[in-house]
Amino acid sequence: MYYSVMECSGVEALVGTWESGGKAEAAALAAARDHVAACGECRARFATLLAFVERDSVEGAAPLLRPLPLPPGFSDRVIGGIEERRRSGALPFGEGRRSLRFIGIAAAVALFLVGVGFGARVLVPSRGDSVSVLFVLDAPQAKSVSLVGDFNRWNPAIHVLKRRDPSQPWELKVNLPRGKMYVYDFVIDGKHWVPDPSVETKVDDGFGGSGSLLRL
Amino acid sequence: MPETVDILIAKAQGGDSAAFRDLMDAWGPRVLAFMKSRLDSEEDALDATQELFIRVWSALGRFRLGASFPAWIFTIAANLVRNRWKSRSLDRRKTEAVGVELAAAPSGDPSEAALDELRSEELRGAVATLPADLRRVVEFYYFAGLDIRETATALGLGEEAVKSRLFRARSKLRTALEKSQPGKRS
Repeated sequence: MYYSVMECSGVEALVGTWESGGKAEAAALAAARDHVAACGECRARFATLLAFVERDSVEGAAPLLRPLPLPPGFSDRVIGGIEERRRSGALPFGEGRRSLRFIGIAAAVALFLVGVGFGARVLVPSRGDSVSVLFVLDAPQAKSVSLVGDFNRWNPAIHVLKRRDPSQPWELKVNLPRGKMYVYDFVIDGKHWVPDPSVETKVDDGFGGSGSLLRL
Repeated sequence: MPETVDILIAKAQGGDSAAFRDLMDAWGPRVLAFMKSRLDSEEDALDATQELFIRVWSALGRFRLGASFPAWIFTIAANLVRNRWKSRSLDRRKTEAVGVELAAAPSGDPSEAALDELRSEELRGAVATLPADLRRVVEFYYFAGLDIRETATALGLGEEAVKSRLFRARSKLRTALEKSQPGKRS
C-alpha cells in the first residue's frame, strides 16, 4: 500500500492496529511520523505511542530507553570495587573465577584425552611466556584441515594441519601466549567449520557456529 | 571480527579483565538508562550500575554460556533496584514512580530536548498507571530492549504469558497516554 500522505484517521487506525497486537508496515510508520510532525493534535495524541509501535514493528528497533553514556573511569571504578572487596573479604578471592576453573577443567580433560582421542594437547605446559599446543583431529576422509581461532583472526590459511599418512590423524603444533583463553575451530576441506569434538565446552564462534574453548 | 558476548563472557570468566571491560562498555549504557528510569537520582543510578557489575563479576562463574546475558543482567538490575527501594523504606507512591527517557536521536536542538523531556514525563505517568505485573514486562521489553524470550527468562515466565501481558499493557498504555490529552480517548 502507498502511504505518501496519511490523515489523522490513518494514524489513529495504525495505533489501533498496534494495540490489537498488529504490526505497522515501514511505509505506514514513516507516513504516520510525517503526519504527526505536521499535525499538532496528532503529535500530542500519538507521538509517544508511535515509539511503542516502532519497537513492535521494526526488526532491531532501539529500545525506548535511550542508552546513557558511562562516565569516564567507570570500568576502573568497578574493577577497583572488586579488588577492594576481595581484599576486605567481602568478595572471596577467585569467586568470579569459579567458572574459569570449571571451564579450565573441561578443557584440561580434553587435553588429556589425546592418548585416547583427539583435540588440543599441551606439549610444553610450564615454561616461558608461551605454551606449545599440539592440535590433533582425526578426519580420515578430509583432504585438508586448518586451524582457525581468535589467535589467527580466523584465517584458515595460517595454521594448516598435516598428517604423516592417510591412516594417521591431522596434527599441528602451535605456540600460543600463556594465561589466555582461546576459541578455535577446525576447517575441513576449506569449507566445513567444526568445533573440536573432544572439547565439551562450546561457545558461539561469531560465525553462526560453535567454537571450542582452550585455556592456557 | 567483534567478539561475541559468549566469547567475552568466557574470557571474563577466565579472569580476563579487558574482556570484562568490553562487557561493561557494551551493556553499561543500557543498564545505566534502566537504573536511571527506576531510581530517583543520577548518582544513585550510577552507583547501582557500578554495584551491578561488581555482582556480575562475582557471579559470572555461575553464568551458563549460551544463556541470555541481557536477561541475566537485567534480572540482577531489577533485584538491585527492588532492594534499594526496600532498604530505604520509601513510601509506596515513590516506589511506584517510574522515570523514563524516551529514546531519540541525540539532538543539540533545545526544543527537541524539551520535547523529549515532555514525552518522558508523559511516559512516566502512563507506565506508573500499570499494575506491577504489566509494568515489569513493559520495562524489560520496551525500555531495556529485551526480546520476548529474554523477557520471559528474566521474569521467570513463559513466552505466551509475556505476550499476553504486553497485549494487556498496550491497551492500558494507549488509554493512559491519550487520556492525558484533553477531549481525547477516555
